[in-house]
Amino acid sequence: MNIRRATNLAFHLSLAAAVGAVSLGCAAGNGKYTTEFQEQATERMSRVKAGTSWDMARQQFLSGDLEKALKTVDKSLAHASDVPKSHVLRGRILVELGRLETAIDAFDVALQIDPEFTQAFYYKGIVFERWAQHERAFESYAFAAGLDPTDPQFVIAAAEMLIQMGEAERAEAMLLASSSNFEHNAGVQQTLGHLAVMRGDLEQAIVCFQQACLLAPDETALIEDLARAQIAKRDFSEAEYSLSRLLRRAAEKGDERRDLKHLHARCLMELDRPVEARRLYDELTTDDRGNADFAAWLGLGKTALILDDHYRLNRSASQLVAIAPHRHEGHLLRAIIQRDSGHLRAAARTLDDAIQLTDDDPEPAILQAVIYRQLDEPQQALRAARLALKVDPNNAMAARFVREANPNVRIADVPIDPDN
Amino acid sequence: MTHDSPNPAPTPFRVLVCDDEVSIRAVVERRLRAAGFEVAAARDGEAALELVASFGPHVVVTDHRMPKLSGVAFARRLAESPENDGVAVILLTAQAHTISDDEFEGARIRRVIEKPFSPVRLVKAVEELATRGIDRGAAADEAERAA
Repeated sequence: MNIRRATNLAFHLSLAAAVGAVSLGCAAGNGKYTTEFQEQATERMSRVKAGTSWDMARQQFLSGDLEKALKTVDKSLAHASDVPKSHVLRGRILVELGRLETAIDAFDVALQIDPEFTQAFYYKGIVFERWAQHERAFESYAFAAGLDPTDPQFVIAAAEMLIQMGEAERAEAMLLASSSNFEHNAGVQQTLGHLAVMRGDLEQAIVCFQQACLLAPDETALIEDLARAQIAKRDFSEAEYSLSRLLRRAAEKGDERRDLKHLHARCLMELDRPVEARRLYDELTTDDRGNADFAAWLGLGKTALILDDHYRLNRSASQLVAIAPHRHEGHLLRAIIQRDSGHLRAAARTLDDAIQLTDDDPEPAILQAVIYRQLDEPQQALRAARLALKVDPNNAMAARFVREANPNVRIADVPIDPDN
Repeated sequence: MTHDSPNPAPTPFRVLVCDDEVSIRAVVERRLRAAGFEVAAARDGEAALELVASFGPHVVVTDHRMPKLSGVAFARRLAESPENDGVAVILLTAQAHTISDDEFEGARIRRVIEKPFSPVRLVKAVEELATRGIDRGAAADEAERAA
């Protein structure tokens, strides 16, 4: 071996030794920290990805894209399975998908991770409520309320369950006890309003709903509650104002609220504003759904009667008989038209049909009594008046007919059964 | 125990929690443990009755609405055995007003906590019993309940 080759060999050996030493050093010392650092970085990255997916899933959930939201939240959980809010979001999506059993499992997983994750109790309550297990729902809501007394939604939900369980007084006591915390919460005021409606205190209900409307002026459900309470209290002027606001907002959003239009028309009629009511009924009867809207056609018929609008009266009577031949109202309107056009005999016959079809409205029988009197047929008129009294024993007009036909007979002695 | 007790009990103060709702039971258990009590739990009245002999609780915290045996019925069964004379019962309920005096009679219920309740309040009630001593406070509690 010459010196040069020996030197080369020595150089290569020492190089290999150095590389080996570095490698061994890495594995035994610095490598540990590197691995830990890498693990921490991976963990951090997973958390970031989980958070991003959670945000995305929530957006998808809120926009109603439930299947996509479920996939995305599962992705989030694949990155970080120990985040209770992800399990709760998963549960909420499953609730909306109607998979309630699986939803409960998701909420329970959240509670295993964090036993005091209040939202999980609340949403478990929602599932129990969907199953009509009101007591269990109450337990969950009440427990959430106890864990977090600062959030009014829990105590409101618990009170609503008590109402479902027929414990309105307890619900009210519970809300009032907590109202010092939530004095300025629209939801609490709204629920107190519902309770006042239930016990028939419409005045108090209106105060609560008005308060709620002030606290949450953009919440249309509150204005609707207010309007309904005002109608129930026969405060049609205030109700008309509330309904106008509601309908304006519904129109802005492109919502078709036929139910509110009906209420509005009713208020207008009560306020002796039949022309405006007729305009609403015209709207309600002209579209596709309007064809079969019995209440709208009846409303149109009534406004037409008041306004002497023969065209609409005819249309309403025909449509009512066509869509509900087994109800008396269309026949009654048809009889009114026949009477007004001088066809008394035809009107009386039409009223026979109307009388047959109702057992709670004395009007067809009273009208028939009037027509028979016009036809100078007192016995038939008396018979019709007795029929009216059979339907409504306190009907003053029918009683007058009977009294006039038999001046010596006391009303109490008039046989109600016309066959007697 | 974390509370200041003038006469600390020689043995750990034992609390038996009875509730059919596992997640609620878990929180109550957890809060009581955190307050320094020794805690056992049962999912219904029958299971709780079986545990009483082996665990020897000073206080039983029970939900009222449970399958098989209501909280009050469980408390009455508990009170039937003379060896449970020293055991005080705290009843958790949303329906205290529906429980008649006859039902309460003989159930040895020392506290009724209305739902919704804060777990902090429950822990405080147990701590009070632990601090005042179950027997010393019984008369006062009875008067309080009657009021």
